[in-house]
Amino acid sequence: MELLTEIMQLVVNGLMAGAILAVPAIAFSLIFAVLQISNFSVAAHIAIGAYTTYVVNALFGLPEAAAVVCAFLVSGSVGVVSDHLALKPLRTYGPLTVAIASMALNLVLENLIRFGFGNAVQALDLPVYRNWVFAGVHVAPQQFFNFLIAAGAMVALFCLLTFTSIGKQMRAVADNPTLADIKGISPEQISRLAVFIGMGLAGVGGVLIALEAAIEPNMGFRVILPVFAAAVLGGLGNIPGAVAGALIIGVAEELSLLALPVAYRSAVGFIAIIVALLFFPRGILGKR
Amino acid sequence: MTTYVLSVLTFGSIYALLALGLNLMWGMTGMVNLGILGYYAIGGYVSALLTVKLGLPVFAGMLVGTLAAALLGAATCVGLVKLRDDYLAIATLGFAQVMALIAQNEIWLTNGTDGIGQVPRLGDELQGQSFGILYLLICLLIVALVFVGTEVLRRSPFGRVLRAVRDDSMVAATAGKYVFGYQMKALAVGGGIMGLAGASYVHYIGFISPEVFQPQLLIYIFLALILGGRGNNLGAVAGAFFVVIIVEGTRFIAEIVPSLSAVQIGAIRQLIIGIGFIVVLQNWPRGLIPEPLRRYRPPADPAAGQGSERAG
Amino acid sequence: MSFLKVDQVVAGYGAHDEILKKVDMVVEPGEIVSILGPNGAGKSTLLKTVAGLVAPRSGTVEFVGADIAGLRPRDVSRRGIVFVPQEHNIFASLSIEENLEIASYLDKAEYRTRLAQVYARMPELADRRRLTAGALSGGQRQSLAMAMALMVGPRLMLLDEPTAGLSPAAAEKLFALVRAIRDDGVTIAMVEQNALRSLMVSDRAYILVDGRNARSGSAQELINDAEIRQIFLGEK
Repeated sequence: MELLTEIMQLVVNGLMAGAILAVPAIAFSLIFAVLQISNFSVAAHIAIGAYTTYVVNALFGLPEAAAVVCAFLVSGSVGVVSDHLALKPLRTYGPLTVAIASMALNLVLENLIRFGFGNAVQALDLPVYRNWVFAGVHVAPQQFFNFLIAAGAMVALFCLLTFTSIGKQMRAVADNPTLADIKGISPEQISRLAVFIGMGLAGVGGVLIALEAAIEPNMGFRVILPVFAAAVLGGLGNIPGAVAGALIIGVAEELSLLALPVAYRSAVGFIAIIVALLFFPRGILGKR
Repeated sequence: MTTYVLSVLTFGSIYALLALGLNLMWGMTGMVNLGILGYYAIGGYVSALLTVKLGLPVFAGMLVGTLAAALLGAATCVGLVKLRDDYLAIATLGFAQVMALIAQNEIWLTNGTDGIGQVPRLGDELQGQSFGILYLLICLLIVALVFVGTEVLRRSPFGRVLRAVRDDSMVAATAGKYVFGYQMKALAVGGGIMGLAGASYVHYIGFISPEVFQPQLLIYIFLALILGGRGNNLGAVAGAFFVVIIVEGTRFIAEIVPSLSAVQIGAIRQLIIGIGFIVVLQNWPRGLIPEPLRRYRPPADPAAGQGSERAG
Repeated sequence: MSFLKVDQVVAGYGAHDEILKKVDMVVEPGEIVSILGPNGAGKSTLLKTVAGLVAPRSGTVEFVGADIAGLRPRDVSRRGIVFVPQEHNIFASLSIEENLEIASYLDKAEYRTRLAQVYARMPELADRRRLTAGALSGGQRQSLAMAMALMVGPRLMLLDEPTAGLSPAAAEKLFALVRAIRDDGVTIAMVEQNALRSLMVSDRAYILVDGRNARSGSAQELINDAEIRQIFLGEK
């Protein structure tokens, strides 16, 4: 009974953590789907989102909701500008050249933050609530709110892609950019929009991470392994797959605590990548 | 000042070794390995542990460290090499992160974040500049040997197969097992060279900690190879020294601007490296010393509506 | 002034690659024109050059008097020229109806009307409108590709091997559809492997060999030409 409650607690924690991971994971996957590029600078955009929240919330005292919106807009805009300046000119050299350049871009963005804010760890000014307890399982209200924000972001993206004209255009470009061009859609514009939404979501992911943990310039790099693992597990470019992958990794990371020292929790992401690639080379949802 | 120049050149040699190893994996064989610091670290750690804890002579430590890294390279091949492009990049990045976790957490072995100090340095009985000169000469000798070795490899039939694998994915796909052996050898030898770099580092500095996994080093080495020209060994060496000079040069640029904190100066230096990387890639995509064009050109595919050049 | 006039066009994919070596072609309104020739003759490249997928290195492409050489594919489409590629001519991961919706992007105002017309003409698509397009059979995919082209009310349709990979029955059906579309007033230029069958539905044809014009003339004339029959139809 004790163990069962413990496992339930870990599963609940894992789902909450997984939902947060899912936000940057779908960002990575969305950009991959539309541009066919692994953009490693998602890591820095996570930090950009977090620092935006820090400025908006801790310095100006605005509420969380405003912070989320600002983080989306700021990191989305930085994403579009940096993609335009740094990565777009490289696309003719192939996706891997761009992927490697995106690591350099990540270094640039991370150090811009470092230049402005320093290396010191920042934290948000948040009220502390008493945990909710259901059948012996504890849930922190903050954790639950984060879960709601993450779920909201995912639902919003899902609705955009499924029901709106612009979302269908985005899927069309992801599927077949040449045909989309023939049909009158500008793949460049849609790519720009995908980068904006993708990096905006990475920023929202950064807010969620900031609400749970500390804010520092290299915070994105510390979570990038499970984020990539979630995207790979779901099949690169598959957005529902990335959500499923993130939830699996979130739960697996928590359950690993039963067997592994806490320090190795993030190794779960790597193991998940290897397992995924050996057994589900096209992702667990098996598309593309 | 002389000591400083000696140290810059010694680091240049160590970077050159890393770039030569990366050139074998990525430049010549086309495998994007973002886990290169894993081999570098294991070379350094193994050599440090053997010399500190078992008292082995430095040369033996370096040899075993190199072999350990080569083994790790071969092992990477088994797990990862079948993956294509982006997946390989992500998986190898993860591999290095797990190595970093082990270095941080297996305190009984690695001392964790405190690192391993008091590592015997090669030629330690010499004082000050004599040590620096001797060590630089040793490093340059190693670089020269590795350069000659990789250049022989590049010109050999073995090297031609590697380039064929890189330039034509059909070869890689259809020749399956046959190609696998070549890729494994390339990863093992490349990993070994990086391990040797790690061992050369640890017996120069006399200390190793999980700091060796700093992501900017990964960027430096890729920059060195891109600058020098992918596939070109001479370019890899030249690129490595060039990168060290830029990295060190930024130190002086940062000092010109007054009233900056140490963190800000560090950030500016990284910014310059990162921006430089992108500028080089945009303007000289094949490097300052491009690989001599002698390779097979696949015919343009008329079915592919727009020209999509394969690179990376 | 011709409807479509391709004049002395040189084009290819890479910097040193020349597939079309000064090709001429004229298409008049209401015609079906076939482009025939052996593999590698540059037939598809010619269509792609008109469609904006390949930029000509020299020569001109005029459509109702305006120079369209080097325009982007979407700007060519905007003028009423719709290119139907041989492969990858549908969005496989979108539903059939989403495909048709995307296809009407350049003329959204007529979406409802044209959707009804297309469904009336191709009931097999109407029955499967929520199905993912990738799940369609070869013949149905081709129907969808044609339906997508019709969603913008084109003036000129460029078809790249529309019957490739189809069964004889499906190919027959497709040729009938091509004629019906022409009878609605749409001009058609198509590349075909099946030379005889294609000539039988066409008014005129161009024969390319190694990136150059080899022959041209009315379909009837070419069908009856002994040399043509020998080269393309394997008769002796």
